[in-house]
Amino acid sequence: MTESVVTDVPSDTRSQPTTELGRIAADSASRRSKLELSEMVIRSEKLNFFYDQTAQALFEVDINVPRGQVVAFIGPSGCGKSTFLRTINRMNDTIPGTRVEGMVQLDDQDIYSPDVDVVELRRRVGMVFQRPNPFPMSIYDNIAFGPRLHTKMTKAQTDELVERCLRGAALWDETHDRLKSSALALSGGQQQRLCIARALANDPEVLLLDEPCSALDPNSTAKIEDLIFELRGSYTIVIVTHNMQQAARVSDRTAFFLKGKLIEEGNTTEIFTRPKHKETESYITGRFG
Amino acid sequence: MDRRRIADRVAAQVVSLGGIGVVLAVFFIAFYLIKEAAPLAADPEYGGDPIRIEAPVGLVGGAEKFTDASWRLFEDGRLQLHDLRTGAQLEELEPLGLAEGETVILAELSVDQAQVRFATSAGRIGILSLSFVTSFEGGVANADTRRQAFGELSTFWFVEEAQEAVPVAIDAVLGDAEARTNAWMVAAYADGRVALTRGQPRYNALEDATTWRMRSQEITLDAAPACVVLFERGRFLVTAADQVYGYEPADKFAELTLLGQVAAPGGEVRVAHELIGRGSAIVGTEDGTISRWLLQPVQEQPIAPILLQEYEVRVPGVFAILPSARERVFLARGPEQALVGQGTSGVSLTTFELDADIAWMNIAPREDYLIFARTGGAFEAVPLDLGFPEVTSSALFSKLTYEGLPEPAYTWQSTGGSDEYEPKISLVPLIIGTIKGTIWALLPSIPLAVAGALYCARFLRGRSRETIKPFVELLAGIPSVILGFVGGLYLAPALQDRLLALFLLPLVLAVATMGLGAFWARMPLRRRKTLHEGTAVFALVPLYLVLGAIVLWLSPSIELAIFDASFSRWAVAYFDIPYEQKNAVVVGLAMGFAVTPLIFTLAEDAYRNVPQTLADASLALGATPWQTALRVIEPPARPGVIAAIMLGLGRAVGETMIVLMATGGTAITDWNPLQGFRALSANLATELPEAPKGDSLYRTLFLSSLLLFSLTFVINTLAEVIRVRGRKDL
Repeated sequence: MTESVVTDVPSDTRSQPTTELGRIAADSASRRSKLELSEMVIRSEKLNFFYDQTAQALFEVDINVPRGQVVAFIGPSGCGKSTFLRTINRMNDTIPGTRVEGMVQLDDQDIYSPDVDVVELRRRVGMVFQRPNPFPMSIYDNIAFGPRLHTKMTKAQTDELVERCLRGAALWDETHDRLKSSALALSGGQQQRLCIARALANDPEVLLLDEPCSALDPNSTAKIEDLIFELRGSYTIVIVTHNMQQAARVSDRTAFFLKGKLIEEGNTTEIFTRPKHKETESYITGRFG
Repeated sequence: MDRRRIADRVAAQVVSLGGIGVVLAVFFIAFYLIKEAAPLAADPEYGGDPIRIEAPVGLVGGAEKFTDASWRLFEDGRLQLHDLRTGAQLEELEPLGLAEGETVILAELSVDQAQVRFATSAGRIGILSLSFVTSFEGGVANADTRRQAFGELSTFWFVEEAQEAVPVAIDAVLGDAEARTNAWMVAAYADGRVALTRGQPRYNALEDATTWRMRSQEITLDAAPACVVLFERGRFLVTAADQVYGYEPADKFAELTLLGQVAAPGGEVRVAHELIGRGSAIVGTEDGTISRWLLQPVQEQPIAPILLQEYEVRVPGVFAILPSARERVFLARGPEQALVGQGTSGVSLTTFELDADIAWMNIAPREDYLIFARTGGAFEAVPLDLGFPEVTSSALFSKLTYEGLPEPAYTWQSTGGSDEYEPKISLVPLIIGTIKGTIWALLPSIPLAVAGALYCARFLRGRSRETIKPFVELLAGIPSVILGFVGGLYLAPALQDRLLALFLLPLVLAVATMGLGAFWARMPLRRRKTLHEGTAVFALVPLYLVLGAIVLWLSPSIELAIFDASFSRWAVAYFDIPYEQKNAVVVGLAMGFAVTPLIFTLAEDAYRNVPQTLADASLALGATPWQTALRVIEPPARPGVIAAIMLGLGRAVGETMIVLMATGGTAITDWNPLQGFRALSANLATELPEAPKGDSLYRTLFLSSLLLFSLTFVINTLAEVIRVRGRKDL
């Protein structure tokens, strides 16, 4: 996917390295409202991650994610961007033998400290996966699943919540007349928006999107990107993507990972027009990846 | 065509051929079972080419067992034998030695057709025993060279001296000098007298001869008696008008005691006759009602005449009851038709139309012919097919009162010590046994297997998961005969000694598990990390072993201290429930070894087949692993798990060796888990090898196997349907 985006970029355009992507980024940024770079929601310091004793996946990662912004993680396969994403809601805990060193903070609290309630953490940090994975139940029950885990709700409250989340995920118009039918009957793009709506139902602060469009067609991808645009501001969004045009289109900030290290992080327009590191430049111009 | 395509085609053909073959095999088995069981449904019928000869008719008569020759007894005491193939007279004897002018006025054939009880005009009463000698002409043994002649004929006199009074009805049975059983005779007279005579054998060793000491007691009824039927030990029924009286000799034969008096349905009693075994009598009354009677204690009442059932079909003008010599089947004969009735279940099987000119008739000793004597002086044997009259739907599925048993029951006891035994072929205890065995096998197995499967599939990780499953599957491979004898020979006695431990163990282990869980949850996270989630469960294994050993070690002391040394005996006394060493709990435990691995491995597959992405989604939404397991993993896996349970059910229903070896095999209808049972499958294994091919027991067993086949077939098909349906939803 990455290659196809940049094939038309001449390899010797080092002075103006990312014309195309830079233009997209600048263009998108101009259409977005300005957000105050007020406080950092997610903060990691010297984060090392090991899959087992020998396989280290992250090396000394320091990164800050500001509230309400969209941050895109880019980098070649196996660079650790997804691994890092999954440390934020401790989904890596489900893999046996993993180990974390260093610190990840959510709202100034170390999420790996022993007194952290993983359940509460995951309620606050929603996640959407690469492939749409709605539960084999009705659309309604999919949305209500998360809240029902944590609180008791009346029918009216649930109804209200389901509508709000589906509207929030721009899915209400398509599904309001078949809330009780199986979520599996939806199209792939609808399913992925349902997954986003399901994550929103927990009223999270942060939304982690792990390559949310990689299994979708361009049309559905566009709808998801519109949705990310809508959600920006209300939620802090971290998106892992292989599609650099997408990163340029949707994100305020972009972080580039390579071989488990964070190479460069900054304003998306900056990254795509004037990358500071040679590796970043090579990657976004398609020299490798 | 290239080679790959040929190979492809051949493979496809072979596979589909195999599939079709399996389906055909199943159909063939079903067809075979149906074919063997189907004749049970056939109605009795008679007809076809009769054997017919011209011969005088006589008072009473019949055919010997090969139906080669017919005999008849005449009023003047002559006994004739005619060849049925040629019509020639073979013999004529006068075995009774009647006085001048004395005639036979009453003659009745015994059920086995080997005796004629008779009374003469001189009031003398006796039994003529018949026997036949078969020889073969020219030394070649076949049906054509077979010749019949009278063997030894003897007369046993109950009343040898001439009397004034002449009986209107008699019944008599011979004694056996060697077995020291008494001879009995009851005679009813027109003046209301009913006399019971007992003949006691006295063996004189010096002369090597037996004399019979005769004693009589009599009573007088208000009305003129009509029919008498002897039961065991001198008990008898006598009828007068519409009343049926039961009497027994009492006080060392000093008097006759009235046991009871019951009105017969349908008015005046016209005819009464015993069935084979003298355990019940068939009574016919004025309006044609046929009823069956017992003279025995029922439902804790003292011995009394009992009207057991009336037959649905009436025989107007009934005047003779003709029992079969082989089973509890009879013809109730009226002037135009005869009812074929069955004794045990009281079912009217069918009705035969009869010609008007029949002097007497009976069922041939082997039930293969109906013997007719026609008034014109002809003698006929018409082919008869009774089918399998003892196997009726009510005999198979209803509660019946059997001869000699104290109350109505579902009983399976297909064979007994003698030919006169009343077969009890209720399938109900077998079905209950099968269900009971299945329940007690599945009760511990289902929770264990399903919970274990869920844990193994969704909580265990890495190597431990990959190791456990093959080990459990290894368990499934233990031959059930081994489980059966370990269950029967080791587990059953061990359980009796440590019954308390069986109750204590699950309790103690459950408490220990929860205790350890609570302790674990309190442990600091860092400690817990050293034993990763999922492997922590192995900490339970030593705990279980230690606790199990302690419970087993302590339970005898507890039993000694609290339960009078034996919990099983104490429980029997306290709860008033019988305890059998080889009981349903033993079967449940042994069968658990066969069923649990089966359910476990299939349920584990079902749980594991639920995509990890769903679990991830649930965990990412903040669900705990248990919430994830129960709310996200379990629902889509449910059809598969139900299918697994159904297959376990199918296995338990069809399981044979374990239920055969680890239960006592008594066919009881009791749900008490501390008693044994007999399952359909075990019953087949025990009885089918010994059932004579083609007879009613053999076919009844095939019927029960058809039941078992359909049961497992339906269960397994249902399991598959559920599984396929469920797979579509995922």
